[in-house]
Amino acid sequence: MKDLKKGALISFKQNFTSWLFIIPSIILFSFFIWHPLLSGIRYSFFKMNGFKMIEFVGFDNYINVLSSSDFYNALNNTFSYAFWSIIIGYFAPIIIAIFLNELVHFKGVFRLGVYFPNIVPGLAAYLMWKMLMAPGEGGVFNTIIGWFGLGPFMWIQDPRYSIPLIIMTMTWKAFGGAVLIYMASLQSVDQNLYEAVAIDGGGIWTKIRHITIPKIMPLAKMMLILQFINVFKVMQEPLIMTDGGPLNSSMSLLLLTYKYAFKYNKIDMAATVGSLVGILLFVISFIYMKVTKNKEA
Amino acid sequence: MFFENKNYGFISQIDLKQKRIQILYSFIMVFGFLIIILCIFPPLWVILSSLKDTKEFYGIPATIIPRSFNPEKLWIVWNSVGFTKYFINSLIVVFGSVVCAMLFNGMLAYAVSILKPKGSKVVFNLVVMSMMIPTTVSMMTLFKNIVDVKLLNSYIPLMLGVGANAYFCILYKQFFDAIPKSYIEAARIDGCSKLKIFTHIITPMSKAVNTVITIFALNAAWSDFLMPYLILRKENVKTVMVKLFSMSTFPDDYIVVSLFFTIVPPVILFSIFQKNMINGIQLGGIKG
Repeated sequence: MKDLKKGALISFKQNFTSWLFIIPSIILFSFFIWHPLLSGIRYSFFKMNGFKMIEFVGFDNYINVLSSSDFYNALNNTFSYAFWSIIIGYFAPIIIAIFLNELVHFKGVFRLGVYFPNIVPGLAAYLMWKMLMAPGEGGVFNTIIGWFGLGPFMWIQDPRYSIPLIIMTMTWKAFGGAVLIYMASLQSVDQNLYEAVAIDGGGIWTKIRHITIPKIMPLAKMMLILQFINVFKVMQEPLIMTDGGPLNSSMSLLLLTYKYAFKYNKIDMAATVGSLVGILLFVISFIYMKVTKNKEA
Repeated sequence: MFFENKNYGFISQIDLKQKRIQILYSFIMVFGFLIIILCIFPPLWVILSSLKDTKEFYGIPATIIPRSFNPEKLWIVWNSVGFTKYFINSLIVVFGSVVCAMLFNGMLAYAVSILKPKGSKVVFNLVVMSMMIPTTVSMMTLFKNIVDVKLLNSYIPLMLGVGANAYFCILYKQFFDAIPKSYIEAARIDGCSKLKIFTHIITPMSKAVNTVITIFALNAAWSDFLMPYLILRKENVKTVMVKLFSMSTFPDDYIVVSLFFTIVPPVILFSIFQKNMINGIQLGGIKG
């Protein structure tokens, strides 16, 4: 009995010193991530005045949000962002990686070059592209297309093109990382497989279709879901480039929470939209976890 | 053309003896260079434009290759915006963030990966789960927390915030998991305390991962904009990025020069550490 007590004491003492390494992080994670998330959910059930909770209103905020046209516009736009980010942002790195992987010459230059935009700070990149796409005749892009007798265009100031152009900018900023990951995966293709196809009389197209694409398929599946999760976070880009305009055409869900919280002081509405995005992402992430589990098995 | 070393990819060395394939290869090469131009052109335009004189900058049509060369303009803008102050502020935040990133994430990963006290797995799972939901969802409640502890206009929340980074924790944990257990066992038998194992065994062995974390944290802290923008309201505490975003009252040519200033530091960093960065992306990128 005494020994048992002593054992428990020692194991507590051992664990205690171990926990000393964890406790600072627990405090930080609670303060910066877990508590803000949970209190956001709590706020979504209250009527708020600034950051003061006035009274519990149940699902009223959700009903309000779900019946507002602002929310539907932002939801619609967010799916539009997702659509374009898959068309542009998802396929571009795959295609570029497959081709760049073929090159023997200047391999280092290509790898550095595609990764270069990643190191340009986000704010600088988006302001830079906004200036390049200046709508006037003095705009750089308008000057360039002017050489071919086109334009001038309105670029992101045109509600029809604001989302695809923002996605194009985001793709420019981030595609290098994905290209490097795909290239790393392509490096490990067994060369004998290509030779086998060649012996069977298959051309280059057959090789790509039956060897290259199946090889990167598991990775590509994971990246697709990551892409989808990432695009739901879109907020800073439209904030910097268009402030949600023109005519709310580039307003995303998270930009809407930002506007509710810091422009219109509607904390309850912001918390509710935030919670809805959180639920949506949780569902997508759950699917993501399932897919990665299957891949490992 | 020399293709002796081509032992990868769908174009084999034998294929390259055909004219048709050689043309295809050249097309791919041109395609690659076009991509590189697309990647480099916008920042290059910023650099070239910041050296134009004001008249040329606003001229129609815009010139791509500048006719005027005005390096003193950099100096004029630097002084009239007062960038020295903002750069010092940014450097303080960046330095503190890197220290916090290594210290707190490293300690948590050490405990979860090597010490493994009861219940630590739950904490780590919570950390991993928090990766699913972007911090922007809860930015306003985080903002309230910061106001509540009276840290508005302070750099402390920005620095400590990097200490709670799930991605860095996972990167550290993966690295520590790969350290042979015998080292730690040997140290334990020699009577090393847990703190001493951390400072004398783990830390010296973690140079590679520390470099990657340092570069990522450096870049992230330098580029971070939203949280600093919300927290740093007073003019004299603003970082470079916050100042850049609030420069809409300045003329466009001033903004372009300021963009130049914000792009240069990471480019210098990149040119020094490109190998570590690219390896870091290929190792840990999939999890991000």
